[in-house]
Amino acid sequence: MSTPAKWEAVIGLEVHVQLLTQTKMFCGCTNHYGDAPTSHVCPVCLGLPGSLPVPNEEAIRLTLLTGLMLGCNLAPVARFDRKNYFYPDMPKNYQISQYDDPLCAGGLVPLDPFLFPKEIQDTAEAKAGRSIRLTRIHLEEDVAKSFHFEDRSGIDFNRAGTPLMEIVSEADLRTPGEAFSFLGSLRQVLLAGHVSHADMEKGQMRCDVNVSIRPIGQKEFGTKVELKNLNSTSGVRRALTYEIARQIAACEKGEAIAHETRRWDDQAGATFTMRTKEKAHDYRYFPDPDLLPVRTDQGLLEAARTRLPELPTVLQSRLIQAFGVTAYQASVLGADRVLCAYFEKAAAQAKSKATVANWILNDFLSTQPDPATTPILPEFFGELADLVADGTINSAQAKKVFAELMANPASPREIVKRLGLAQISDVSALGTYCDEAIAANPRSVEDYRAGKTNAINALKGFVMKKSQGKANPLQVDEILKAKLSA
Amino acid sequence: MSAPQINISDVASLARLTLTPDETAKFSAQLSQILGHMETLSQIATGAVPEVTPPAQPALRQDIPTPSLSIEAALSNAPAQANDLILVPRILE
Repeated sequence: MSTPAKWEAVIGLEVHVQLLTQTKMFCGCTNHYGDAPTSHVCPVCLGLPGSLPVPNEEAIRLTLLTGLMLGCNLAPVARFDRKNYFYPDMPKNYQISQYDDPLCAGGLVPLDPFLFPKEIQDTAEAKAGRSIRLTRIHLEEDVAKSFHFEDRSGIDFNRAGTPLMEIVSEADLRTPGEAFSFLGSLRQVLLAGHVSHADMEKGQMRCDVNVSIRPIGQKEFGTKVELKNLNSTSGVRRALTYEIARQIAACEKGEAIAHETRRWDDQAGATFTMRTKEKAHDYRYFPDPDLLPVRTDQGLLEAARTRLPELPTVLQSRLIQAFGVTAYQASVLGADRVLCAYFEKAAAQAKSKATVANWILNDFLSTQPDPATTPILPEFFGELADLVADGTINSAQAKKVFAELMANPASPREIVKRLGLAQISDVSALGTYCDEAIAANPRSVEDYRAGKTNAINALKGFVMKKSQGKANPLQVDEILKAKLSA
Repeated sequence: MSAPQINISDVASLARLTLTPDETAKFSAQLSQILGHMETLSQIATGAVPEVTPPAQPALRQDIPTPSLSIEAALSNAPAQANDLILVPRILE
């Protein structure tokens, strides 16, 4: 469903990211999921009177590292504030967050064209190469997890107080596809820095969406609607596609868009009103008197800088330049650093590095390997590609070597010997086969000489059969053509 | 200078407090007086005074786990519990 030409959507995202720390944001309780309820709690994260928070320096470093990777301005001094509201999943009745002085401001997320949905990667929308501006990145604490029973709710405080990084984009996104790519591209950066596993389906990355529509050419924004309960990148895309169409249909009927929060129901494929925002929330932010301002300029920022990884865009250009892979292959390799390291090892010594990429990304990947533990050495793929490049085996034989490599891992050279596969490139031996083919297929010879060039395939087939598939097909082609035109 | 007015019923609802009319009148007067003091403070010219930068890094914590409470201890004050969860009135969104 595409947006009718008259209208454009204006989309902004708020992305919450769980950080890869050992402990919570303001206490030493373990930051780990899936353990027994209420097993990682203490007076601080239960909000008991008299307890005092102490910031986790690693969470601050990871947030600064994210800011560095996304080109943000990093604050030399950052502050924590209290966001006040009542909810059973937040024991203190305020959440420690950042308001006026977040750790990072500004920044950009470049949209990777290959992280758009597959079916629109070839469109101008994906190829536009847009970058989406960020407003800010701040650090806060997560709330507890709630379970809803028939007449009560149950709270597990293990998640309460774990570090949560919030990344807020400007309202720069225009399509559901861009929002999809934004989340994928952002995730690649977070993975590169080992900041988070950032898996939306596991709740490690959560996303709220603000969306409005306006007639193309209009500067003012329309009334924005907030969407919640988005649990996957494709869910974000589907919800936006639905919601934009809903708003356009309403506007074209002359109805006003209500300023409200709507819940995405993935099963129903529709959004439903959760609450109407009659008045803005009044969170009464104020500086947390329990926490002094944090000086990032005294070691924290330097520590973050030493961890700067090779960014996805930089890695992709290097792969294209150094290994001759396609932009698409560079994106696939860049998305999996373990696979990428495997490929780089495989291609390092190989003559045709692009062929190595084809083997690994097409054939090897389809066997769903774990590149970290596979017994198949990366060097084997370099060797396999070289065997084809130097004419030892042809591509049909290479497929057999690959199958054997998966079944009984060994050096491809060994396998070629073991299976007796070496290609026949000896000109006189091939010439004999070709003579036999010509003698045995007078009809095809006649056809070929009469101009039906396809007739040569029958002769080639004869040679391949006679040689048990070992003849070098390129040489056979040359020899046959020479003999037939003689 | 007149004391600023405060919408006491709004503040009370944010704090989940139910006030009687008498209390509303009493607290309105008291809070307006407090805000009046703030007005006085804000008349002091501070534009030329540089903001105080914290002189040193406050105490931060290394990312090393420390022992948590036992589940029993953590739940000991909960008014209601089941399956090691703290039970609360059903949350409705």
